[in-house]
Amino acid sequence: MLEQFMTAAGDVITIPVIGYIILGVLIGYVVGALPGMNRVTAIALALPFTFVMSPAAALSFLIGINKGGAAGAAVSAILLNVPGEPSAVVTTYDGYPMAQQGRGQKALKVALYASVAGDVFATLILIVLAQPLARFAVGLGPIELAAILIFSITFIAAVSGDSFFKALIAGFLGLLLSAPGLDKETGLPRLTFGMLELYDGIPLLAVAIGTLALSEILVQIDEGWRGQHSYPPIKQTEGSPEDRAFTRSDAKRIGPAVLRGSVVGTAIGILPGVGATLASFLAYTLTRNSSKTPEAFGTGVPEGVAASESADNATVPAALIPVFAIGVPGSLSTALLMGAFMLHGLTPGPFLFKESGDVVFSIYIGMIIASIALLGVGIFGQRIFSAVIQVRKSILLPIIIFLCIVGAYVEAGGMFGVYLMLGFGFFGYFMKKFDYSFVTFVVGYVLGPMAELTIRQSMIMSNGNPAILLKHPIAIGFLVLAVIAIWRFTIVGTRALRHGNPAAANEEEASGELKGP
Amino acid sequence: MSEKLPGDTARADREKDKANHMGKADFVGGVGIALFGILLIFVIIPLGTAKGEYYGLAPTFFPTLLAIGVTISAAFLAVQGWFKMRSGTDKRPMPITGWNFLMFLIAAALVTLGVAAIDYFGMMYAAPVLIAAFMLFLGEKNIIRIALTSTIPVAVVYLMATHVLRAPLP
Repeated sequence: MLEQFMTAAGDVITIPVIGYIILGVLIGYVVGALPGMNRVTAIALALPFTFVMSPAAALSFLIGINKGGAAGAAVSAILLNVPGEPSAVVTTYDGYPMAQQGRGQKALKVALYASVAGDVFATLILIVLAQPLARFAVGLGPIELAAILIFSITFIAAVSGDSFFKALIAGFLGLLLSAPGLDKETGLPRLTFGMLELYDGIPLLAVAIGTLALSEILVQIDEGWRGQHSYPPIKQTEGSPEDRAFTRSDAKRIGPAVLRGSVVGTAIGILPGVGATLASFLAYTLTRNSSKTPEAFGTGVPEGVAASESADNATVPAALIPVFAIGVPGSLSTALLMGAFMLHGLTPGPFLFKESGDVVFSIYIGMIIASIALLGVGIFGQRIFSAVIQVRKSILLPIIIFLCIVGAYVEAGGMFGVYLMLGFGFFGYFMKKFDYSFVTFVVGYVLGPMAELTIRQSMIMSNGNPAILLKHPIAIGFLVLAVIAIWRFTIVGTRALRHGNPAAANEEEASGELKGP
Repeated sequence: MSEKLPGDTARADREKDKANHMGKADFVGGVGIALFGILLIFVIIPLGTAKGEYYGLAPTFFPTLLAIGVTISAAFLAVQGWFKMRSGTDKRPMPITGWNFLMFLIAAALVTLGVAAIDYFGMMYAAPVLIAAFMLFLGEKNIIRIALTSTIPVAVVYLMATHVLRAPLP
């Protein structure tokens, strides 16, 4: 292990790789800070540019974008009252009032330090937990893995979006999207319709860039056409030096909130599909409830900012635990990262540690460097980011459309990928508008090959007899959990709807504590 | 209590109709996707898969299983949408208005034309025009801003692709 670690350190601690990681954090920070842009768009657009990098550098670069995006979202939340990402909504509750009181710089510092703390905490948990979990997962057979996949997709469908059935349809369509190409078992072309370009399947980047980046731009164009593409100037009044500085007493004050946020963010980040938004809401609510002055929350309390930001950032490394351990992504960004693993010839999951242990260690070291970079970029760049967030959308959106085209071209090496990307962009627009879950769609697409393999193997092993499940208690456990999720989010939800209270039905699907102070 | 006027019932019906848009969208979407699922199961998957000899499960097994999943889920969505329409309790409006859709169509047409132009003339010539066209569409009027935004990113991507990434460009 020590030898692997030393090899990994030698691979990562080099000027080019550290440069890529810092660049990734910087890009993530800027994109996260820009209202309406998000880290998923940035990862999708950055993926094609990682082909020239080593796997460890590429993945550390992309994880850097992810980490930077989570932290950067606080900038616009605090200064503009416009969250860069949904998970930063909670940061506006106390961050924006702080900025209005002339304590904007302090709020940004609290957000930064809490983000870094949450990120480091969850990275360490990832390093400690992933390998033992993977060792356990190696013993799982295709029947258990198939059951885990069924549970994951059902659970993600259950907790995402406003309708379980819409999310399930999106999941099935995502899985279906992985079917075209040469059938792995028989070698026969399937759903290729005579197009040679489809023999290797539908390119990941066409799907990712189209549905996640281009569709987002199209939605932003139709929702804020002309005149609404810039934000009002920042109304931040500069306070006294004490109001701007982050002091030792501030650190003491926010410490418990940061710890609470980090634990909540890590725990929720591991669960598939639940996501950073719920984590930050929950951490905020817990911090407010445990405070001696809960009524002060919402008026500019640093603990509120710290709790939400630490939880938000802790979900980023925590969401990688199931990817490393069993090869199942639980969010859009981890689904894209899993795609990046595959593009670089790595298979995420329990065998990753055995087959590419040095790469895993390289990624761990890269993640720690990214955490340090996050701190540096945040400290030195905060004033610049405060200006960047006011870039006009009439400048930003056309450039992103151009990058979508270039990105889709690079992977497929031709215009076929670009036209496919356009198709997925238009498809994604309607998905977004009508609330069909993107998470289940992309996770389904990424998990498709593994799902097909495990389900086929299970069918062959069982000879079509479901009684074989009796010999696989773990599989039964996950299938029961999937049934509970379906029951909880369909029958109970529908009953509430029938009783004439759709709000109750929707609220049952979300958390009861999702409202602001 | 004020007296009910003759127009009130019609207005209330119209309001109820408005409030039911998302339910209608779910119902129509569910029916449409269920029909697509049936088309997948009986037409697209069998016709789109090459015939040949194999052992074990047919190559159509997995996509057919998923298409069945799509169809059943879509049928449930349609039923749920139907209940929402009947109860009239889903207050959410239709997510796409005529104006939204028009803007989407213009943006989609612009980007499609831009991609076709890049395919035909090459990125270096067509991409700046595409960016400039989008900027004008989004209401940008400053000529210098348009000129700089439409050329600098293209030049940066060109230099990166040719000197750093060594990747082909359209």
